[in-house]
Amino acid sequence: MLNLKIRVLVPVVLCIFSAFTLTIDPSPITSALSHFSSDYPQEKVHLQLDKNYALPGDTMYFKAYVVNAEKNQPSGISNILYVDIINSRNEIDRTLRYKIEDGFAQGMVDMPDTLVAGRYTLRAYTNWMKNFSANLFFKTELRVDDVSPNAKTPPQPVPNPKHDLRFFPEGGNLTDKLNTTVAFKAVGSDGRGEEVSGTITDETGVVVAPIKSLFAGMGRFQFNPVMAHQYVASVKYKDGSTQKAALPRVQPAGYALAVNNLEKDYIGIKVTQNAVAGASNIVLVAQCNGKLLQTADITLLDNQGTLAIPRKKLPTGIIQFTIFDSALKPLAERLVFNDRHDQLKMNVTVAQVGSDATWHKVTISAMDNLLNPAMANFSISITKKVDGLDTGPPSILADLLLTSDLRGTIEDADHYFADQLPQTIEALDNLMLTQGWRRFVWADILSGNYPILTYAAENNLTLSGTVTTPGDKPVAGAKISLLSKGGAALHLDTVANASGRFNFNLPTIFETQQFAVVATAPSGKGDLKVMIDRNPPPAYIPEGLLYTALLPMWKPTVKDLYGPYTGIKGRLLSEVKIKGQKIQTARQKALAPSSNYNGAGFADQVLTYKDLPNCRDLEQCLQGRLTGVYLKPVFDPSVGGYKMVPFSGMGMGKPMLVVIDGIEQELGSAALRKVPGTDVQSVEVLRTGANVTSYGMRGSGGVIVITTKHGGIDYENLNDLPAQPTKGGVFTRYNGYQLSREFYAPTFAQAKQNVLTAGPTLFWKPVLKTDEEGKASLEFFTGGYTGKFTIIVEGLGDDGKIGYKRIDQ
Amino acid sequence: MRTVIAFMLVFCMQFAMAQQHLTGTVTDERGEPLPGASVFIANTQTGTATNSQGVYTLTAIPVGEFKLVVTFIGFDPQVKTLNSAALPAELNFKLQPIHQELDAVTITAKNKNTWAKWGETFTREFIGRSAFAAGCSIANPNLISFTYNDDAKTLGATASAPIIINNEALGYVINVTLVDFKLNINTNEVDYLVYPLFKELTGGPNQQAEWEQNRLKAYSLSFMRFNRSLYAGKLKEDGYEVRLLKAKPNTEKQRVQDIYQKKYAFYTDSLKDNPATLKQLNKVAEKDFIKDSLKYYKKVLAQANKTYELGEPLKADNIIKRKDGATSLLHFDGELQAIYKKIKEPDEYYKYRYEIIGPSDINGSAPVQQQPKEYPLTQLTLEKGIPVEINESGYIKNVDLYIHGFWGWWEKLATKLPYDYQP
Repeated sequence: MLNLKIRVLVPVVLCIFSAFTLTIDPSPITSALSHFSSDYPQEKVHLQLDKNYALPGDTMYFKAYVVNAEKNQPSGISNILYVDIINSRNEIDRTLRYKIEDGFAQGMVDMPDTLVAGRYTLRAYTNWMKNFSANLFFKTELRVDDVSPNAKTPPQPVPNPKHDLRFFPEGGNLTDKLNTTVAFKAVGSDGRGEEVSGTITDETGVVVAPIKSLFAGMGRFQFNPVMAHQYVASVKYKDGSTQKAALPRVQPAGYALAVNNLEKDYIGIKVTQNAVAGASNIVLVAQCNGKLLQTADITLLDNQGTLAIPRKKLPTGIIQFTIFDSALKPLAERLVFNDRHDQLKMNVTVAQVGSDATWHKVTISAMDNLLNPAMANFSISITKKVDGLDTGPPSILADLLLTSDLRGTIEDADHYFADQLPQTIEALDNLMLTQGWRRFVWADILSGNYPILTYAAENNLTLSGTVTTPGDKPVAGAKISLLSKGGAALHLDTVANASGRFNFNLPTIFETQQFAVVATAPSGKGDLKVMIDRNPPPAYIPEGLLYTALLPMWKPTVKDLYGPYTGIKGRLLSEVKIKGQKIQTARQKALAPSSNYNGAGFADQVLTYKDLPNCRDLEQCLQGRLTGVYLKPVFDPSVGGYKMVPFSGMGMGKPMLVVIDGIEQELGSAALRKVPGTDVQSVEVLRTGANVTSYGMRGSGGVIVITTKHGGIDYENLNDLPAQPTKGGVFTRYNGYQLSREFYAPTFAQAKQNVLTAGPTLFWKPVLKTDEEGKASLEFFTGGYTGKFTIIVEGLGDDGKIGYKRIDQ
Repeated sequence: MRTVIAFMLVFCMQFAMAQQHLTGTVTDERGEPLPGASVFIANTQTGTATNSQGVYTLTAIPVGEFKLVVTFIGFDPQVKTLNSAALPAELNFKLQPIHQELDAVTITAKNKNTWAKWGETFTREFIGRSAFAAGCSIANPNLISFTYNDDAKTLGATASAPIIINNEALGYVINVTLVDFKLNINTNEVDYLVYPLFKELTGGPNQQAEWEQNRLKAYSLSFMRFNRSLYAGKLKEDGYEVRLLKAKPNTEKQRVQDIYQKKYAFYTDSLKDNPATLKQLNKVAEKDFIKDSLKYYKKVLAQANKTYELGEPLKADNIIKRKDGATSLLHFDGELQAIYKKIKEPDEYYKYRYEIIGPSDINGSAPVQQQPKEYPLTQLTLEKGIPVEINESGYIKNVDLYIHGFWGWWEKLATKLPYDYQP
């Protein structure tokens, strides 16, 4: 008989009961966290766009979901949404404002016909979000192409010449003799994650672990690091090139925090340390979006302790596990994605109505996790489906649950929600290890370093500024009046506070409005300087290349998407018909808002902003530019030197009347100084008979009509408020909310007449609510289009549960 | 290459997932081991059979209180109430054979009260009338015997072995140990005590998906989920609106009656010879009160003496108190009304309400054919005013809890899910 020796593994049970251990009082942690979550509530923004590409002159439609981060319920914090359009040089082209109502906003962005083709970025945020990291703003790439014959080649992103390979030990560090999982991310020369394989060796070349990426260049391996060694990874990229990269140094002492996130019912946590023998206590804290979920004491016996947390006790989302020592110093940290599969279950079906192949009915049904009908607020886009244009912005599901809490660009974020296969769960866990981001740093909030709140949560439009003497001393009690120019007469008064600050709460204003802000000293005497606050958008710093950066431009497909087009700046004939708009030249457009009594452009001479490049000082740059006009220097003590007064050769010695945005300036005053040259949109000179007469006697010396810039045009620099102070008062352009048109959905008859041949968006509806039965439906027409289409439905239930469904048909 | 982190998980402290086990021997009255005896935890999927030495071992013990049931053909079932916090090292059972005399009595009764006569009534009350009941069948109806008491109009049922129910709608085979079943035909009240053991059926992926869906639907409407929600303090979040229903005297009617009484007292002297009847009084009143008041008074006098008033929506904290780590006590005065506001009542219940018992007796209005469907509504009463225990799994010690309304109708074996079910 063989004498079999059976080795029995006896599990050592480390179940420690708090009754006989010294527990750590976690109250400083919990109180710091509750202070953070109550005083610094986090907002998130997600946008569903009708599409993520455009031609110049095109219109983008969107629905914005502005939610609180904790529950994804409509946020009550902010009522104004900002949308930045950022060009391929990473400069902010335009900043648009939209009104948020009950956490939802809808609107559109007109892409100017002067837009240069290339890669644009659309970014959305609230003023409150500016207090925190700009990494957490919503952003998505927009591709703009120009199909006109003389289109310039769009600037291509500069490829990152180097491969990049980085390592992220689980818990933060590699510690001597502590078996650790290490995640890595390999980035190819195109800036996207790239699949690699290779080995980890020590300095002598001994292989300690093979490595192979799983998804998007990310992968993991496990090994037992020893301090005496230095570890190097050697990997091979798909282009055959190889790279060697050193792993982080092995620390002599410390903790390892290992999480098993691959089990169905629970999250396993194991803490090991290498320094101390005997028992020691640590405390584990779990939080999600600022909400404390759990604190637990763990006693380490023989340098290790474990814990299992049932998933049902944790919400869906990114959960941050941190271990602290008895002095409440954070030791190690790990982000884990917990998926309870408790978001809305969506059913979207599309069926042809009757015998007509172009008439379709879409039925949506939404259910909660227990299959009860769910009332929810959805948006829906139906677009022509074209291969190669599939990589859109992340869905509301991936965005609110994942990308809004991670750093960098998440490639193909929706992949992680596509199925529940073990490799998908592991790929998501790799993402947590490599691209995790924290909205706060524990060490900071525990030592009382909370974020500085510079930006107010905005409930309504405001205009604020400071009143000072010409010597920059604040004038307390100065009376400030705000007067609107044009259409809606608005007159508001306020008084500056002790530090000369004033603030106007404005009513709902759409588009660009012109205001005069005039200050009077309490004494009624003396000149005052008014400085309007600027609230410029935060600079855009791209985090590596965005996901569509190097996809081929899509010119060949434009024809499929847009149908016939005119060739002029990609404008579409049929679209023009629909909108009933005239094609305006840039010059006509620039002149349109002029207040010239004769009509815009009816003048002896016209200059536009294009004729005045880099013009700061209008007095200087108009010098010698105006035919038959000379600028005469006149000494003026109030400006501390000479001012330039315009005279016409035919004016018989009478100064020309300067009209700024319709307001006539005092004859012979320093009117040309009132407007910074960069703010001028057009200058019209009226000198001769018929042109002058409409201004009467005041204009008998000739007239200069100056119009300042308005929104909606591709100005180089579009910070909406001028910073330059003006004596006694200031003219300012104020960008109100953007106006929106409804998406034009044709009727059956119109569709039959083939009116709808243009445009890639077949249907767009920003608000579609499901009823008590959880159902909603709509009908749409494909007109002359017979190809495949994509339906994307996104939305939020009353309780903050997310609904998302995409179907291709 | 995929590396899977493998390490020993230890379950402890507040995250405890009881990884305990229970063992013992089952013998007959003489101490002889009974191999093949069924040992299970009531209302769960945890069950086993004794081995050839009569020894059983159970793992996956639920947290908190539970009932351990031992059955063997020809023997009376035994039930022990246990708590996971204090499990005995060994738990032995000595089963007693079913008394022969008693059996003989049952047999005689069975002759008159057969399945053919009572099967339909029994099935309706035992399995229920929900949509899922159509997918259920009793595999061994011939084991069930009935006793009918014509005076009390009560139907009783007993079974000589566990009743086997195939629930094709939810995908379970349920082994039901029937302890007591009593139906009052007049009042339509049913009392029964059963110890079911659940076993999942296996099917193809489509079949499995359908079962999963149906289980979710059954769970959503279940009393078990209400109890879980109550225990977790998430009533509002989970869609329940719970209020106390208080009976109040109709003070306005009393006031009007007083006014009439005074009038009556005033006129009794002048009407001495003609004792005042209500008719006379009305006649008097007609003269004395102005028209509008009279109309109003008449309306008030037609009202009931008591009105029912709904209290404000309650939070779980208002009606439960934590007893220990895994148990809470539900306690309230009077009647508790619970409405589940996530989904309207099932078609079958809607029909039942209007065809069999008439409209909800709270509003008291006459049945109208086109009444809209309502949210499922249940009234709960503590029969003896004693608090009842509920625990995290949704288990409720419901012997003293009277359930009237939707859950009384719904909670039958066709919709029953094991307490270890998780959505």
